[in-house]
Amino acid sequence: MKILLKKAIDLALSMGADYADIRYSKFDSESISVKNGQVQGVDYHSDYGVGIRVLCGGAWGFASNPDLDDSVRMETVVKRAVDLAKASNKVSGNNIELAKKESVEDEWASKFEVDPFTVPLEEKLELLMKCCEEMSKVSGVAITNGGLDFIREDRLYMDTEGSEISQKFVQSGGGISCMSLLGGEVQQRSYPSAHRGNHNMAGYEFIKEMDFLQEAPRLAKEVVELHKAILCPTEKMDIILGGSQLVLQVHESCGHAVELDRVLGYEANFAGTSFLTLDKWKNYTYGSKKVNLVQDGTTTRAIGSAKYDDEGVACTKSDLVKDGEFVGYLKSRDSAKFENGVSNGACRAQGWYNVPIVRMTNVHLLPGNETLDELITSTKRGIFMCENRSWSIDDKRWNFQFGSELGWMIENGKITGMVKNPTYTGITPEFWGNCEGVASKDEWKVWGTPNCGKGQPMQVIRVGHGVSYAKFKDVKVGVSK
Amino acid sequence: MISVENTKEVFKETLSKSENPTQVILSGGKQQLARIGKNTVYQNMLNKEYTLKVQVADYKKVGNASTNRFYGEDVEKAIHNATFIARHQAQDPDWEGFLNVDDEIVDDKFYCKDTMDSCFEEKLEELNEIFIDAKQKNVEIAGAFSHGDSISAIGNQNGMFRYHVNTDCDFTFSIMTPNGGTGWSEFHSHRLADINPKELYRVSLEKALLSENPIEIDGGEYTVILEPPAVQSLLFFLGYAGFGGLGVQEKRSFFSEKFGEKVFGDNISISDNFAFDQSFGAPFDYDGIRKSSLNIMDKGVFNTPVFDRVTARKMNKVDTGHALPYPSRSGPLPLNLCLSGGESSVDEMVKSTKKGILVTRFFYDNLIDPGQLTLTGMTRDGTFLIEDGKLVSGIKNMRYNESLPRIFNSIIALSKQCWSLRGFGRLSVPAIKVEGFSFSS
Repeated sequence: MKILLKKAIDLALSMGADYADIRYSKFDSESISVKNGQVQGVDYHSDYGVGIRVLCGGAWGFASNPDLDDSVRMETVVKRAVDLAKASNKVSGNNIELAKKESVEDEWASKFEVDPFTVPLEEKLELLMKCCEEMSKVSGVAITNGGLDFIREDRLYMDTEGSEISQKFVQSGGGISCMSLLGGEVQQRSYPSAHRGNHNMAGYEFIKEMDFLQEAPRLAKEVVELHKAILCPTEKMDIILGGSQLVLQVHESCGHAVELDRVLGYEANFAGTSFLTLDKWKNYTYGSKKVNLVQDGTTTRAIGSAKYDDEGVACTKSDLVKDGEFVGYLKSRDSAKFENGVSNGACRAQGWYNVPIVRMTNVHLLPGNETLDELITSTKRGIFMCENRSWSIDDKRWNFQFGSELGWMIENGKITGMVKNPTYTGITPEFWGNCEGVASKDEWKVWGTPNCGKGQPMQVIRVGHGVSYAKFKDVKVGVSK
Repeated sequence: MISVENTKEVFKETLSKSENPTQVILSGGKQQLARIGKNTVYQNMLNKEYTLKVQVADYKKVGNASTNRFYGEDVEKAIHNATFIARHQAQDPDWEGFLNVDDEIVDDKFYCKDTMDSCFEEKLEELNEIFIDAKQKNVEIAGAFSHGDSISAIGNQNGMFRYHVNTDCDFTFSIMTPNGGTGWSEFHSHRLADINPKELYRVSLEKALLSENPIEIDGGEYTVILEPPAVQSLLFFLGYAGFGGLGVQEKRSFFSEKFGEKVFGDNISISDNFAFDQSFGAPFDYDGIRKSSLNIMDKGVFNTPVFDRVTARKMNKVDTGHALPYPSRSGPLPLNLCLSGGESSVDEMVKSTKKGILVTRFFYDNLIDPGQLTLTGMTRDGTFLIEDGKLVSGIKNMRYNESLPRIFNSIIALSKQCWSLRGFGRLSVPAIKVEGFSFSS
């Protein structure tokens, strides 16, 4: 394969390209769904192919194909990429410059203990069915769900600057949920998070660690009790966000906001732009001093991790928000004109058939010093919100509104009862500016968001977020009609 | 494009290798897409991606495996994997079996050969003048311009063969001005020749310039005029969370107990019709069932959700031909919803409004409470204050929190003209005027 890929990029140079990179990817996935104790579906998928990206006179061209296994097809695909770049150049007067990077020959593989693809299907189904059975034992539970997802991907990257990188990835994830219906009211509880659970760069051991079966009865009990809970009040109060809800808050209001291609206007038509404009770089207070956000493509077990991104740039760890001050963007080689002028390894593509663009790798809210207990006991009146139910944010990542599956009312430092349909809304810098505390590293863990969408055509990639718990004061809650 | 003959050949070859009842689904296509940013074509790409999905049944146990190859060991491996899954998993008591008919449907109503033969680069060259004009006007364009084809085909050992192919050309422009103005437009057709970039640029630019220096207004209830892209968001969620047969059967849907009830205003009629102009719809579902136009809502009275074979059997109703590929977590869904138009126009709606808001489109809409069909979202790319029948100013983007039943009971005008826009599949929607639409900020 290496010989074939090398031929392709050499061919691109001979056709007039100034630079070319090529990615071969072989992707396998297994997805299992169980509903109400019955198998809803088991799906294996496998694909492989190549994508070649060329730079001609300062403009990009990209073409992909399932294979390049004969010289005629290879020439056709490479020529298409070069022709597209030349066509772009004619009409646009592009002047793309690539930031420097180190050329490397390297191999890397993610770590896991148990290859999830070797675990018998019966064992996986049995786990999910038992969870459904446990949840359905509670009277009032109408629908039970469980899902498991596994992926493995082998990637080979080469470019005309001499890089040759082989990487292998194995990821596992899953979750369970249940619903209760009463008089038109629909309630749901999920574990460990909504939207098909949690995902890590790990093997089947991660599924066992999550111990779905242990949590199933609690979910079932909570979902039924939610019908009797008080409706989320409409007022300004403190809120504490639990891990899986905080993940989405970080993802939407920070992670997307620091993507440099958005900031520069390249994503304005679909994904949007960002309020963190260039003039704000190192000159803007994003949050309180408790707020420290980093991008870290090297985090163990996080699903956005790799040794190199899809431009062959080494993944890094760097500050995005330091002590509340906005200091950094996520960057690709063609957008990296800031900070030290190099990419921080955040250019990624979904599969071999898409062009790499600026993406989150893993974006973390670093732990603080408090404990969850301290965050609660210091709250006079507030709601502790767990597991996401709805999410919405504007195209500048400025005005957001989220809802959770469940809230716990806090009065005078104590949890006093359950709250249903909790929602909250805010303006990003005001909200993070009111961050009063972040729980410590003892309660910090890595979460996986496997369905982050961006780009045209839409590319869905897997992103990691490390968070603990965080408390915010004076937040508008109960905003839904 | 993979021709009918080649598709049949792939199916014949694949089906002959499986010893169990088997069905195959071929989907995918070829797309050339140029992305525009900062008045340049900054990404220009060609994607070709097809998936062959093999479904193998072992009595009521079904396995699925897919590959992006059509022949050889990859297909054999997919058959092996699907068979292995089928053997080793539990029974699905709801499994209806593969459709037992020996007939074929071939549909290329929305395929335009000229589109695929056209030189995309020539079309791109039309952008030059636009970019020059944008730079002179000190505005910035972002957008995407694509054309390609898309195929979906199904076949099984009973002799059932279904084939649908369409071409699809999309052009969308966003324009941003230095003074905070934004405008947007979009058009699609199966004919590349129908795309008129200059007209789309004109529309976007007009909105962008008109919305400059937007003012901030308070939240509250307003008369709103929603242009078709904004209506598309509402209809999309109505279909997704309301009209699916599984949600109705499981009593999760707002419409679960409302068969035959008057739920929306007299002026609301909604159908699912795969054949409307530029619907790109297939005349069959993923079980291979023939589709016909379905009257979901008639003058505000809820008739029926959409069904597949399983949900229809469980509810003792007739299958409407809306199955998605098995296994589908969402159950059957409408892919070509049409909200019938009225007698008005956007101009007339604006002229008849003393004070209100015109919304070009919404962004990042999401369900807050699926059972009650409450939604939130933000306005985007051209939100205007209307006073005394005229657009008087751009306004800063606003967040709405509203329930779909409330909105569809408060529509006082619909435009005669309807537009085809993207949803799950494609939707056909008019512009609408709504009284008492609630913005929270």
